Amino acid sequence: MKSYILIILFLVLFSGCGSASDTPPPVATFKNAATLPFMADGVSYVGMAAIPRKLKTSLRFQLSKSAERIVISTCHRAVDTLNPPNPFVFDYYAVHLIEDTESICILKAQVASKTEPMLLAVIDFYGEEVSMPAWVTCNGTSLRTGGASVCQAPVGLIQRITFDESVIVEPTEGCGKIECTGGNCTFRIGTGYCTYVFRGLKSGLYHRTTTRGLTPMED
Amino acid sequence: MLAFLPLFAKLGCWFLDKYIKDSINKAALKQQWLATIHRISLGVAESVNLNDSYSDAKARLDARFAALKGEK
Repeated sequence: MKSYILIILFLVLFSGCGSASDTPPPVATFKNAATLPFMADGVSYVGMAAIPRKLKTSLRFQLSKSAERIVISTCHRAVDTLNPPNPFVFDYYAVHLIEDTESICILKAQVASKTEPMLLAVIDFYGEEVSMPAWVTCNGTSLRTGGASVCQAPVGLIQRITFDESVIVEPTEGCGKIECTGGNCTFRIGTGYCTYVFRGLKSGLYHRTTTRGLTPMED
Repeated sequence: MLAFLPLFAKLGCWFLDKYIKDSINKAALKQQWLATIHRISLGVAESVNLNDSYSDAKARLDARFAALKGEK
């Protein structure tokens, strides 16, 4: 009898008890959230975008079936929706004198589910206060932008932003080092969020670029 | 008795899945959920901090710009 019990225990413990319903490994390779795809007035974006501010912008978020909560926050408000419909549509009207001032007011959409990593979208709505265009080379992609730009890449990687004229620049707290020669600037992605404000020496116009550093998962 | 060995093994696996693995998974998911909620509140706070820090950076930039223009 004892030998039978030992054989059963052996089979249970060393057969692996594998099944097809085992949880798959997490998709995100970065600690601070995976990117959330969205549409703004019919244009598709993934994760991060700088969009000219209008009276109304219709945001449409494609959610997974397991999404249980979406929180949309700005410098002024946080709108929390439990069990959101899919797709989730949010018409954004910038609140006058708070969300449409000369300062920055980033909109974040954070989607939470009990079974998947948090998804995040970040939007910088910018107005006429920033109007100097730039070429941004970020994480392997080069793009001509308007008065504001965004860049999301792993922490420490070197990125470039180029202007048509010589500029001076000031960073917010937590930014990586930036070096500008004339209108060519290179910077390292810092941890978390950071905004560099540029001003053209000839035109006096402003540009801002907001970066988000992704922290890789430890091996 | 030997013929029932695979069945006993299956029952053993079912027991492990049902009462041990599930409880471990549930505890891990709860921790993950709490961490997500914490990160959401951190994310809201970050927006406000960035707003303040941006105003400071812009003020410094304007002061430097004025100084450079004044020197010419």
